[in-house]
Amino acid sequence: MEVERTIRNGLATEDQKALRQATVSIVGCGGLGGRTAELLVRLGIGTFILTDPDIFTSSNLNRQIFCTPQTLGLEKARVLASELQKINPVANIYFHVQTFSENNIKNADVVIDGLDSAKDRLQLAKLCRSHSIPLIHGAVKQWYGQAGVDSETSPIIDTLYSTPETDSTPTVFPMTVALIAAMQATEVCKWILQKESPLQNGWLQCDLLNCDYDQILQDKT
Amino acid sequence: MKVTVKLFAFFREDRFIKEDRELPEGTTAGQIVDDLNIDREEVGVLLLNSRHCKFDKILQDGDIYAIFPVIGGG
Repeated sequence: MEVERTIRNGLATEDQKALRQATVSIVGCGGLGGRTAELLVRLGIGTFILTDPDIFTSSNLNRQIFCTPQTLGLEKARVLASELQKINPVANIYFHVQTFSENNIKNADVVIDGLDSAKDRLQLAKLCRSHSIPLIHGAVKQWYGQAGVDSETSPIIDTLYSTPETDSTPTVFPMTVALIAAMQATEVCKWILQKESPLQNGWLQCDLLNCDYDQILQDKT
Repeated sequence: MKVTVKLFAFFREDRFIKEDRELPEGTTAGQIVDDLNIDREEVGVLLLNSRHCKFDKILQDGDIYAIFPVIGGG
């Protein structure tokens, strides 16, 4: 079953092996984090580190893939670990019910931004850059979303969150979450397979209402 | 002078996606934000011809000016 599990990815054996040998740290296991994790475990990522201090509440039901009436009140990271393990019993899955720290990211090849505050994003981006680990950013608000890769050469988080936050409870559609999570998972795949991507030099701005998608590319610093 | 103004995400609602605007010489990036009734505190990124700028930047004829809100949900 282990070969057949990913055979329809159509990847070369060495590429599929690279994905299996990769470690992805998911910081924030809500809307974006949960969806991205589900895609990546199916893609064949071998090791996950999941971090989130929160429990599922009923306002998460509209968009967080493993939030159901049965999981309300349960820890998001623990539920996500259990669901990923069901999808791939041989994946290595570690979870931490806590706010993120250096220990949750330092052993990862790639980190997923599943956060929802500017302050936390700035802190996580700084931490990832200090370990030379790319941070795959995603953020959503109702019909609109953005995704890109933050790194030492393209510190997009500092650009996007240079002003203090005014919107503490953003409105979020499930469709936008699914789209942006798919982009984050795709950027993880490309990074691990060492494929160049425009989003390694900027970000994609998505407007689902007008079906308008813009690459905002920056000069490398 | 003529400046192309591009708005992103929810700044487009009840405004526009892209518009060529005839502006008096000396107009600043911040004045356009104010004219559009956009709260400066909601602005995340200002790009002038794909480069960052601040509210006090004076625009020039032919500039392409993009205004982005902060998007924070996850």
